[in-house]
Amino acid sequence: MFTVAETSDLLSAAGAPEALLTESQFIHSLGLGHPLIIAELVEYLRTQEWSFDAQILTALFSGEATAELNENTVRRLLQTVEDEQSRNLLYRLALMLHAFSLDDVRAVAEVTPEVDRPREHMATLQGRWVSRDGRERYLISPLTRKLGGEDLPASTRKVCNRILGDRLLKKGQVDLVDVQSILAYYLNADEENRAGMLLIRVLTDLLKADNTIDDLGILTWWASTPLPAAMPLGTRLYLRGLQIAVRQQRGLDVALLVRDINALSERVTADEAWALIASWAFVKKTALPVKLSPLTVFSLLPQAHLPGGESLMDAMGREDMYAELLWASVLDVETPEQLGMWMSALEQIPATQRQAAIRMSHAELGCMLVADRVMRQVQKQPHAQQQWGTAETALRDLANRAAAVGFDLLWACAIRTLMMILTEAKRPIDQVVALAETSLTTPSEDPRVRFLLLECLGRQYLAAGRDQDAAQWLQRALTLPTSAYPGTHLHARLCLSKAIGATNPSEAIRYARETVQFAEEAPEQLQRKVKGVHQQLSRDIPKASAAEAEQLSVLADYATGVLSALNRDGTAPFDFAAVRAGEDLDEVAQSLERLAKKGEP
Amino acid sequence: MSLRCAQKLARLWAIVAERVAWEQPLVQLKRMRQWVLDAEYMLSGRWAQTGDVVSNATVGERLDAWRQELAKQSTDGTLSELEQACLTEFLQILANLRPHLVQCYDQQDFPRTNNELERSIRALKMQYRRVSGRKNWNS
Repeated sequence: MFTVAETSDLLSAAGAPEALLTESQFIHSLGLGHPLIIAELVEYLRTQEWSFDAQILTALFSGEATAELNENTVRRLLQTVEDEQSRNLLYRLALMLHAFSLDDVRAVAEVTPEVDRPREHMATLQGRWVSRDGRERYLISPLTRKLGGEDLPASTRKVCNRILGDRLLKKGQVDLVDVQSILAYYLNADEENRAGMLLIRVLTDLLKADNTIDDLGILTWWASTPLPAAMPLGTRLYLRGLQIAVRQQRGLDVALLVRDINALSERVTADEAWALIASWAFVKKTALPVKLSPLTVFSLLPQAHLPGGESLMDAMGREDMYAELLWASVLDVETPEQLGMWMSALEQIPATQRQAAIRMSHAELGCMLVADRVMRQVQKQPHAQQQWGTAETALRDLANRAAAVGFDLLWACAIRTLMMILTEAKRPIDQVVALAETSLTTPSEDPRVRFLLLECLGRQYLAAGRDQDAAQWLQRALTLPTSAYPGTHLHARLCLSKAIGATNPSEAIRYARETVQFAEEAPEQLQRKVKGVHQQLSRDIPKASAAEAEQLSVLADYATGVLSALNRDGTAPFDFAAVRAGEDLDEVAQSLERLAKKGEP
Repeated sequence: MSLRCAQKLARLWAIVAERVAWEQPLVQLKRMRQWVLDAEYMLSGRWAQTGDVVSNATVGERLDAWRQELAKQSTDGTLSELEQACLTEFLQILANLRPHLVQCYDQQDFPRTNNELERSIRALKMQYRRVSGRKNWNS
């Protein structure tokens, strides 16, 4: 066999230009180190006047460059191995991608049409075509490997490849190099699903393993090319989810994979619902724009099953997956139909799982979100196109069905949204009041339920200009023993302040102050404070004298500067928003200090 | 300065002074950013004086020495818990990417990054957006 240096010498002797000598390693690998193949490759390059472009590379990889050598090899084979059975066995051995044992030889010989007495034939082939590697194992000559199994019938070739893959997989401990050989065998055997499932097993292990473990190229499999169309959709979807998770964990590019998984997810049927859930579980924490809709899974659930045949519903129940998936699917709801689908999902899950979903921490926000989403979609439409009737029907349906399954909080959220819809649809306030009062007679031990109904009715009264009634209901809401829905509490306090402003200004100020204090305890308070100062300055400037207005404008510019620093985003590479914001604020602080000392802006 | 201006100035100053709450995390962040900047400096070859050879071997040698120094730092107890965790992660990623990072220096005219390519694609995309009026390049 040739070394890389000898390959370089051969190139040099044939007159290759200096630049091409750097490709010696490549040519050596392509020729599998065999002198004849390397010589053939060098000759081919010489006839192409040493050009090394894409066309030549294609010829080198496709075997076109060594076609003549292959013909010579076959001729030599016919001369030296006269026995057809032996030649048949050799063609089968040419499929081997690794050193092999006599058992491997027997296994491929048994494939129909069977080759009798393989051991005897091996004796004929040993030497020129097959060599021993010194450990009771055999190696195929690179010349023979170059031929591949092209002279075998397609069915025999496929079965041989599948058997070789299976045998390697069963050998016990399989390393990443073996895995790549097995993948190649399975793909040559048109066993795309087996290849996909094997890669899934390996990637699952890699996901749990330390990131420093070298993947030996396993992560590049189908990372920049589409998955084989013959691979089942479920396997492709699952595999893509795993690839995204593992590659992202290792800081590798996943853009193509994300595009592909989004395209695949659009074709999901009940047969692949399991894969959609599995993929979703892998990608949910990655914050990538992956559009795997958990709501789709619920719609397919009655017919869905695992590849082994088990019902997907049973499997999900066993893994306690319903609750998490149910709340995750809230974000998929946009239309009344989707709201109905979501509710059906809640109804169809087993009672114990439903209770788990109701008790989950996500439930509080999830109920309000799911109830509000249809209304928000209608609000986005131009006034003339707003279909409040459809939204009202959807919310009434949601409220009834929530009550039927005993989910009080969801029921309250649905009634609350319904009240807002009635107001939006310009219905008389009496209808809203009647709905609220009927709902409030329904007994519930949950203070959140009463809070949602009372504060919403209070706000509707305020919108209708009945401040006194508004104040009464809002005060009742705010005295309830619950701190749930902090944003809604904030809004209720502000509404109460407005409602009593005309009759009791001092009390109104107290509620407004409480609201400010409440808001300041919330995150992003610094931005809010600066925005407040900026708004005050903008209001004061028109009323101030020319000289003072100029000074106030300078301060308004400072406020804008502080806001810009706090909202800094999209920095250049190697720049960090937080660090830059800190530096900018330091500068602003120093400048403000100078202003204060100077006595004028 | 009018009383109103003085009040607003004092208020703005007080708001900006609230940034001291981030002082400690920012110091940490700056220290951690320096690792990234150091890595970039090392890989950029800007350290090379006249006559110095920038090759896979020399860059790799410097990078490895620096990584070893950082690895020592991660265990000598001088860093906070967060910095230790981040440094371990950073070193892990560097170890994974090392063969790819130290690859381009022996190939003449081979660019170290694909920034030029990215820029040309960006220009092409902008041109496409202008021509087509579409915001999304992929649609």
